[in-house]
Amino acid sequence: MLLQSLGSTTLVLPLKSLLIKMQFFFFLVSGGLVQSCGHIIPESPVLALGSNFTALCILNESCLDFGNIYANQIIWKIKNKVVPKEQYREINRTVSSVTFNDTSSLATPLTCNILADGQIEQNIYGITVTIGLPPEKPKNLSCIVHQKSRLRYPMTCTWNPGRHTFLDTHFRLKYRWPQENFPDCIPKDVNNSCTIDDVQFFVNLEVWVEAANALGKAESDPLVIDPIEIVKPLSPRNLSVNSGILPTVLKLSWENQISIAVMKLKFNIRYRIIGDTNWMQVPPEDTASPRTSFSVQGLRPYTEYVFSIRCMKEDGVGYWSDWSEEKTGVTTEDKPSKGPAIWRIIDASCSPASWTALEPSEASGVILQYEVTVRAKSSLSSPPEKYNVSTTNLTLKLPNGTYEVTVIAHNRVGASPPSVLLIPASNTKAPVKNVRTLPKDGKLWVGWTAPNSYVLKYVIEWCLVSNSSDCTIEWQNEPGNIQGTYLKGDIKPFKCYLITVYPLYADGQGSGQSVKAYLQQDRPSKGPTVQTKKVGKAEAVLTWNHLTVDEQNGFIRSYTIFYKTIDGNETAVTVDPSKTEYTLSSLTSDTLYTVRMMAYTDEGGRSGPDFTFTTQKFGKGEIEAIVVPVCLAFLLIVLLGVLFCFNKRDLIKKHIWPIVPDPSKSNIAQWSPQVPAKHNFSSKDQMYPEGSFTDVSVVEIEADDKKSFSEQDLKPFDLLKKEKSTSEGHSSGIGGSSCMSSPRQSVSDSDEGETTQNTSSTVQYSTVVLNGYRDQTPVQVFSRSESTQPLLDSEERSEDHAGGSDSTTQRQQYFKQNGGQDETNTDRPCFERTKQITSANEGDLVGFAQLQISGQSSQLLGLGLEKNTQEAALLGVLQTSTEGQTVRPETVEGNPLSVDEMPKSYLPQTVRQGGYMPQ
Amino acid sequence: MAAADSSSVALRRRDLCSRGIRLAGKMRSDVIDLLDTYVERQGLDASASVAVVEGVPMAAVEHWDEQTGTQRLLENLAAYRAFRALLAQMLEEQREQLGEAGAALGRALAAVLLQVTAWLATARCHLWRIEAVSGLSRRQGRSKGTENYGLVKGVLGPAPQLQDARLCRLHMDAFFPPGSHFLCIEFVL
Repeated sequence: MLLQSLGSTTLVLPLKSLLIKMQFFFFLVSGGLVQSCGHIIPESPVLALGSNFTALCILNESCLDFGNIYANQIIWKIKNKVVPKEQYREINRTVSSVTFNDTSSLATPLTCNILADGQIEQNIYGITVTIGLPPEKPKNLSCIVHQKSRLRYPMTCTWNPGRHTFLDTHFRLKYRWPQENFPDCIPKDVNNSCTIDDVQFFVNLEVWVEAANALGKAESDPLVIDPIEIVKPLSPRNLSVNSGILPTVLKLSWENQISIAVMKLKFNIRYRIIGDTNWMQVPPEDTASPRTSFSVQGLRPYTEYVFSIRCMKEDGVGYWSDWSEEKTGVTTEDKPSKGPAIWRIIDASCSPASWTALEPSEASGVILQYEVTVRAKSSLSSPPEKYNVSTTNLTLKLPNGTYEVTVIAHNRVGASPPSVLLIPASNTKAPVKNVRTLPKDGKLWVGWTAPNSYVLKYVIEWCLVSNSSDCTIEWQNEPGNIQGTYLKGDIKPFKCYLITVYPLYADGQGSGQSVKAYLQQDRPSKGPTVQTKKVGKAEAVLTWNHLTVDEQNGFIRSYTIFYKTIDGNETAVTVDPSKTEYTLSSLTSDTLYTVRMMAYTDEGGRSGPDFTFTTQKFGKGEIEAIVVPVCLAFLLIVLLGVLFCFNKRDLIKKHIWPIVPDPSKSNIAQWSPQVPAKHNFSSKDQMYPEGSFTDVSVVEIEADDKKSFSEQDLKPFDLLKKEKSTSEGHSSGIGGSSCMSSPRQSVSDSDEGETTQNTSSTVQYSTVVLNGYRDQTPVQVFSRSESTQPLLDSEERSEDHAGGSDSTTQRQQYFKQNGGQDETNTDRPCFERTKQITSANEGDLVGFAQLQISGQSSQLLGLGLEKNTQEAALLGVLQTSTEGQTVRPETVEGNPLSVDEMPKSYLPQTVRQGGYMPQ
Repeated sequence: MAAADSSSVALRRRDLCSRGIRLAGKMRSDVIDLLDTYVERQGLDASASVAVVEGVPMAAVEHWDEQTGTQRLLENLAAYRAFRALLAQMLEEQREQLGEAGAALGRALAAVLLQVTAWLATARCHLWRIEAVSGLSRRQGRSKGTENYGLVKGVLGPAPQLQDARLCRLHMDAFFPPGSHFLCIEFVL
């Protein structure tokens, strides 16, 4: 009965089929069992990778009528991917095939589907496809028989299983005798080895490996072998070591674990001194035959040895057993084979004689004591002194001289041959030459050149040089026919050793030759600490201390000084290692430098701490070069000032301590207002005998006295002179008759005007003289004073100086200089020129004053020429440029008025409050 | 080097030829151990020796001068076949009588039985070798071999046909170059 309908499926499948087949939707149910409408041939194929494959989908006839299903409706799919229809072939109405040329394109599942009604895809059947490789031929088959006990000999064979097949591949180890087969050996959990529990010897066994999977079977090449030839026997057991009669022999005994009926054995015996790692071996030919004991000879007396033994088939076919457990044995004592090596260490107070403890091989037993005999060579009559000691050194206090020391070692068996050391009074014999060292194989080799004389033996002393401990001397003897040896002590790396070589002669000793050496060098543990000793402007003297020997870790080959500014590149300087001071030069002044220092050995360098310093701003003597000249100049100025003051002392004295007129000497009785002309004239004549100042006031600057002025020089000032004349015309007035009047107010700037105003307001006294030639009698001379009492002419001048304010001091001084000239009379030619100028017109006077200045600065003169239309400006320039040598044009300008133009008045220009009011 | 190789081959050849004797020696040793175990377990006379045990192959030295090597070998083959049958019977009886308690004795019997089987297999190879050399000589028109490295030329005579001489050929060809006439007379007890 057909229960199935499209799109509605009942699944009733056996469990086994469920596991291997896919889900199907197109079923027939018959008799309670569900039947598929088709199936695929082959069912669950296993395919070789790369091979071709064809599958058939066969539809059931019973489904054809009910479902209208035919082979041409079949669709093949790999997983969910439709196989191209080019690979289909309709064999008949119920069978469709699909072909794959390369199984690598296959995957599981491969399903047969159908398009019901040409639209709906339904699955008919599916198969799993397994793809893999056939097994490769196993290779490299080898076997070994491991003896497990006396009667049990399992054989293990191993092989290379070949490539991975992706399939379940079974390996079998097969073996047989001729006409006798054995059960296969099946590997457990592995695919490359198997163990046959027991094998029989002396018969050839053919062994091979068979590998098989679903795609095929492969066999290895057969291995034909007698198992006796591949046995690895158990090692001999119960090894024992017994001392023999001789002190150099030990006897070994053991048990073999394999019957001689099975295998004849040969042996290897190895042994070593206990504590030593190097094994020695009994010559194999001595143990190449079956045995259970052997006597090892040539051993050292009283020495503990370790033994071990192994065995293998006598003919060498097969494998060596493992080494047996180790057993020890001790040889018996013998008398010491040689005397101990002996040496002395000369001390100022005593002579310690030292000898080495005998090596166990030399002592041949336990050394019970050393017998030391000291014999003075100089006095043969004196008996030798004998000492019995158990230590390896003896301190002797011997007077200066030559001695012979003999040491004999004693053990339980006997005494050693004597060792003799000659201690001469002094080492006068030839020393060795060219002592050198070389680290080699972790040890320190010392070499030297032998002296020409025959040397009995050499003694090599060495000690570790350290800051923290004394140099403890160790030594060793070497025969006289060698010229180099390794130091036998515990030589440590990075430590400095002082090594001394002494040649010993039959009749004395040579002096020692020393050398320092390192077994291994390293970088210094620290760098030198550098500091400055002296810092200059462009150089700095650096100083440092040598590293201690413990810090050096090697030979210091060089120092390198690195220095730099904060933002500059670092500069390196290499310094000889013997130096402790270095001068950095070409530094920049007033600059912060950072300096550090590295010490180098052959293995590298290490830097010390940074040190900073700043170079000085001035170099040595620069400050002195500046200060001293300044001081000298100052002193010179002072000196010149003093000299000047000294020369002008009278004038200074006059200024500071003015001459106070003696009233008692005044001639007031002679003063008469009715005859002032006579009085003034007389007075004027007395003070100014030349009478030149009656016409004009001239300020003359002495510094320019040397400059002469020609008429040509005066010409450029003609224009200015005319301007002046015009200006003066405008400023004429009452002040124009006085030398202290200020017509300049009309030509000077405001400052000058202020000065003039001050002058006008503060000058309370003035000397008013009549303009007239001295040959003419002046009309009147008027003097003004604070006092209501008329003063003498001389008195008034004194009061002018004393009563002047600070602001007027300078100007007053010039007036006084003018007056002073008269007194000092030091510049007579100038006065003569002045007379000439005075006789000229007023324009000439102005020009004269300007030339005095131009004598100092022609530039100023030029400037004045360019601006000669600006009189005020010119005067300003003049006044500025001649500061200190002030020219008072007003004094020039105030006087050019002719006698006719002068107002006939004695009124002062300004009258201070409380001042004198002339009547 | 060539001399060393030659020496090595000669040594191994000697070893191969002595293999039968050594196998027989080991087998005898194992039989003695087996006998001691058996006597001890059965409470028999401890003075019994292998020599008095019936069926253990013995070297019939008294007839050696009268026999060829082939004859001796064939005689030994018969003796060992009988011995193997005896051991197989003993092993069967031992399993029935002693059960698990006699497992050690059974293993010892099985080991000896295996060795007898091994000896027989080796003997067959020597017979094959004898036959092969005999056939070679006949083809070459030679009656006797001329080489001797501690071996003696085998006495050529009729030899049993071997059903499977492959293993014998594989092994012996390593020691006996094709065309040589070496035989292992030492193998013959």
